[in-house]
Amino acid sequence: MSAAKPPRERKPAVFRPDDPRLSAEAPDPFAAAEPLPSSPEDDTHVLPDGEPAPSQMEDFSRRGRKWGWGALLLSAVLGLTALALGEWWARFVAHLFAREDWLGWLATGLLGLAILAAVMLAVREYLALSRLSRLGQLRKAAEMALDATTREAADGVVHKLIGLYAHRRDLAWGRARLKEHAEDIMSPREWLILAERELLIPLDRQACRLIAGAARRVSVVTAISPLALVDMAFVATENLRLLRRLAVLYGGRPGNLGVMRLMRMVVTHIAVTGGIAVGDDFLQQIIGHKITAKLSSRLGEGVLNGALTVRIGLAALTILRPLPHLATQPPRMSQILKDVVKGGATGGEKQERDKRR
Amino acid sequence: MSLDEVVTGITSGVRSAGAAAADRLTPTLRLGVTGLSRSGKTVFLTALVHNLVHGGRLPFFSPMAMGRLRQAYLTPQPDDALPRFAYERHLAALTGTEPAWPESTRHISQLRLTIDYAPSGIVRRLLRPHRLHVDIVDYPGEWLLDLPLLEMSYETWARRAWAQAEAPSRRHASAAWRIFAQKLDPLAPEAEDLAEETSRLFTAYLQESRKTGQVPSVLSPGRFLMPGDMAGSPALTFSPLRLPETGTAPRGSLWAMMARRFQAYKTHVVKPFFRDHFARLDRQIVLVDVLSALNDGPDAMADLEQALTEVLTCFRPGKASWLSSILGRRIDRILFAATKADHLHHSNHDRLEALLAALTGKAAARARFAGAQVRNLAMAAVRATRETEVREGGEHLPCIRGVPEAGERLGETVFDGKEEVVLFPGDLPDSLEAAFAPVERGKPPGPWVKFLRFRPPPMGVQGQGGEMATLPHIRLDRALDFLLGDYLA
Repeated sequence: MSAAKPPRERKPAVFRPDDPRLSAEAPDPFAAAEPLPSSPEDDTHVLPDGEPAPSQMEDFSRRGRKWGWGALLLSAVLGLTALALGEWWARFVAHLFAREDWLGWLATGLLGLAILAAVMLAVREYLALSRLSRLGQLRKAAEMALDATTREAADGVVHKLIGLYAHRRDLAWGRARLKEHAEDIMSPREWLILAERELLIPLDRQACRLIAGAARRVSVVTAISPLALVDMAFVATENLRLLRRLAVLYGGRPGNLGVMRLMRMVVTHIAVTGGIAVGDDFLQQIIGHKITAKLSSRLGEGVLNGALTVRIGLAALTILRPLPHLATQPPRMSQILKDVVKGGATGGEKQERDKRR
Repeated sequence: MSLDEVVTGITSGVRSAGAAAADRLTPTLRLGVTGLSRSGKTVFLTALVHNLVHGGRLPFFSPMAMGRLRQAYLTPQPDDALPRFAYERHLAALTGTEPAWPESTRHISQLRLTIDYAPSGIVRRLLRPHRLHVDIVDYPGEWLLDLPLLEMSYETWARRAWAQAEAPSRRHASAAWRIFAQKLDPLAPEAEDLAEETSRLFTAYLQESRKTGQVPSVLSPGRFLMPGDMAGSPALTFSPLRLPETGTAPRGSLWAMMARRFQAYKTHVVKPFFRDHFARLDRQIVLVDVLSALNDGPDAMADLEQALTEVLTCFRPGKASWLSSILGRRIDRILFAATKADHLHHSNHDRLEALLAALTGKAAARARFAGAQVRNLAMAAVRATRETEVREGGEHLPCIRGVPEAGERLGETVFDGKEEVVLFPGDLPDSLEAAFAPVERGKPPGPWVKFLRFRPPPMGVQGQGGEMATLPHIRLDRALDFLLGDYLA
């Protein structure tokens, strides 16, 4: 409140409605409903030049790297390699030109194509990363906006959220309702709660289904697969797939690098919050695993792998969700495990149904 | 009589008996709407009924947000002796071609709203009826001021009322009565004509001070301003006297006569009202017009604080209060609402709520101690303004935009009630101390905050789809959720 406190007392005053000093009629967040900025300039935040993330490890921007001998060594070696490659290339092309002119041109053209493709790939990955980072930024902005005196910041967040999910037809009702209430809501907290209710709760529900589905597949495959190597590979791909699908669901659309970074953050998240979770649900899970393992070691492993998938999914959900949990409780592990067991009991058809959803 | 007719008669009889029984079984919530006069009780009630009946935009009224509210409609009220709340008339006033605020309440009235809903959860759906009656009682705010009289003797009341009449803010209005009453000897033998004259002058003084826009004092018997059918009866024909410091009333004196009539007022006017109305409340909303008091300066704020504190002592559900026997501990939720929040930009709502919390703090603490839930809310049952911003000298002034009532003035400007203006009402003080401070610092309080009264919003502009547009509001849904939400779970 102190920030909004005026430096001096301001006198009441009255203006005509056509007064030129009147700034654009009521801050309508939807008047200029332009799509979200997706150009790299807007997301300078993620550039690996390394502004350290101010608050949480869930932030997508990288930590600052310190200058060290290792880095020096690496850059020196890389420089040497680049020089060697250039030298080799120059000689190679010169050689080709010496033999036949067209061979030289062909090689040059091929190189150009290769460079173009590499650049395009890099740009795409970069855009994907920035999309992902936007979610984290949105959540941070929302946290800041929550306790503001005015609605301005919250307006910005809601506006961006609507832009983020503008292409989702299943949220059309939610978007319409939000717009309808845009004028009625006063406090930023209520405004964000409403946005959470209309846009994110349906997504949360889908996310839980995705997690449950993945966990179910993982446990079943682990329990029945004949080779340890097979189920390890399956667990890895299934988890990566889950991460990708969750990111897509919340509007991240990550590239390959994005998924890897997400994975890294999930691992960090689990490592940091692990202590809390052990006290909560995970302990039961371990105990349950021990008991199941007495019955059958493979079944026990399946249960454990499934539980791990759920944990990974929940951590990813926490990281990806563009708003903090305001009026809702974050989904709990036991809740989702119930889903897993239910689906598991009825077998494959329900899995299919889940997939179709 | 044929057999057919007999059978039809019996079945219809059974059916109506069944309906009556079902009606008895339907849970009833008695909602008390309390507030000093001019705090907006009537507008609040009208807006509440209108928004529920017409399915207004109430995103934070959880039964409606969850889609469990089937319909709400007005049904015949349970008490046949009370007039009905003239909802339709008030609504017509608000939504007519020339929108105006409903006239102030002159007598008690009642309304029953029935809500059909789908309970959440399977168990509730099986066990609970899907219907709730909400009984609402509207009464003049002046009557509320009688509440503190119940715990006063005539002597206490007379001395305090006298002191108050001599206060600078009321000295002028009370002059005629004080000059007359000064000459009366309390020990003189009783005389009807003197009693009538002093009572007439006393009433005139109360009406005068009310007309000048002051918050009615807790020491004014409410029926003097709104006599109703008791006008002229002895119970309403008394006034404070200039009493000696000590001593008791001699038998047959003017003093004794006044004291007797004061007692009669309490017995025949105040107690029945609270017994019949207050005794059976389940939920309570207290509407407070903080902004008007701020407008009128620190004196009005002090008056408001005193009035609220005294009135709210009577909500004390503890053992010490005589009210506990009838009021009991039934009121489990009390909502303090600072009305007319639409006269402010939303960036100031926090401060409004903080001011309200400071004003009602003691009463709220008592209620909490007794196990009731208490909440403060800045709201506007009908929102008459829109928000905008003015850029002036590099500063952004949060403003509101609306049509002020005819005759409202700000400085030199007088408004004609037709033209729309943009108003920057000033910044609210951020604490109660600051609200009282300007006078102590010797600064005139007037220019720093000014709230104009605005006309109701023009309706029909929004209703393009042919359906009736609902009244816009600020946080009415929050209030409803707090007051009714758990009954509709």
